[in-house]
Amino acid sequence: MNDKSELLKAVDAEDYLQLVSLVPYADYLGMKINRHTSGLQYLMPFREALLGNPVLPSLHGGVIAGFMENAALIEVLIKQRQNRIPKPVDFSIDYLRPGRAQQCQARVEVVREGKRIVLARVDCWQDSEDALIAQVRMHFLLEESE
Amino acid sequence: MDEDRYAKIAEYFIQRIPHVKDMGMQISRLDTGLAVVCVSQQSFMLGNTRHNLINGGVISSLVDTACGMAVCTLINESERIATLDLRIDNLRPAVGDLPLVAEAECYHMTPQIAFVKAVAYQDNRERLIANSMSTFIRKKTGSGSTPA
Repeated sequence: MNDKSELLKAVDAEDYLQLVSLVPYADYLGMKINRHTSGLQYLMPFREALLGNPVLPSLHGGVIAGFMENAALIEVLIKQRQNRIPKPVDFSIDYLRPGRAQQCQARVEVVREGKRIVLARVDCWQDSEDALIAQVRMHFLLEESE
Repeated sequence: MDEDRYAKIAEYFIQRIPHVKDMGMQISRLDTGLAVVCVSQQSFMLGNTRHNLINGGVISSLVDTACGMAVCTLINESERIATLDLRIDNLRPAVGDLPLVAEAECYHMTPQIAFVKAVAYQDNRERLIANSMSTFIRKKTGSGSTPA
């Protein structure tokens, strides 16, 4: 399979379903992307396999991290019209509230776009944007040329 | 006695935590303040199909689980824990055709907070995939030790 044309084709066609399907783990998490006037909205609908504590119940911390990392990755892919998947350099997450057994939403802010390095911040919430459940900051390394 | 407790923790994580079960995580070692957890390769774990690389989210999940388990070996059964923060440095890409291992050590504990460092690697412990630092908060309420 040639990812190069597939990724860019999906970006240019704004075919976000196809874009997510090209990132298997994002697809496994069940990620969805909607375009809003204010930017892209990332969703992760709830399903049982995402739970870290079945009693409370609450989402697995790694699932929330994975959702937010992939939201950042896809945002960079779209904004930078990348030919390949950006390389995550580092990743840092602060958990603010437990993730309950319901859908998560995320929004990505690209803080700095350099030639090689992109710094992204991600906010994640459930009911209300005023009650974030986690914040992420991470760097990606871009390929200058293929 | 400790062995019994570790077996209980292992059983809890592997059998009772839906995401751990769904990912097929396996525990290769559990000791005082130490946990080694691995996953074998499955196609849904990829992030980059063109270069056959494992997605960062898989590393986060595996590392978070190993860190939580390492803390659980040191706390009372009536305590719960939650991840406060987690940082991961990606030293090199993880390839899709090898198992991924996370080794976590809870190196310091206060009555409130547990401090954990972890590494991830594939076939060679000398060639690290990732380095990680995290903190967990201990909660006295509730029953059964659980991860975040």
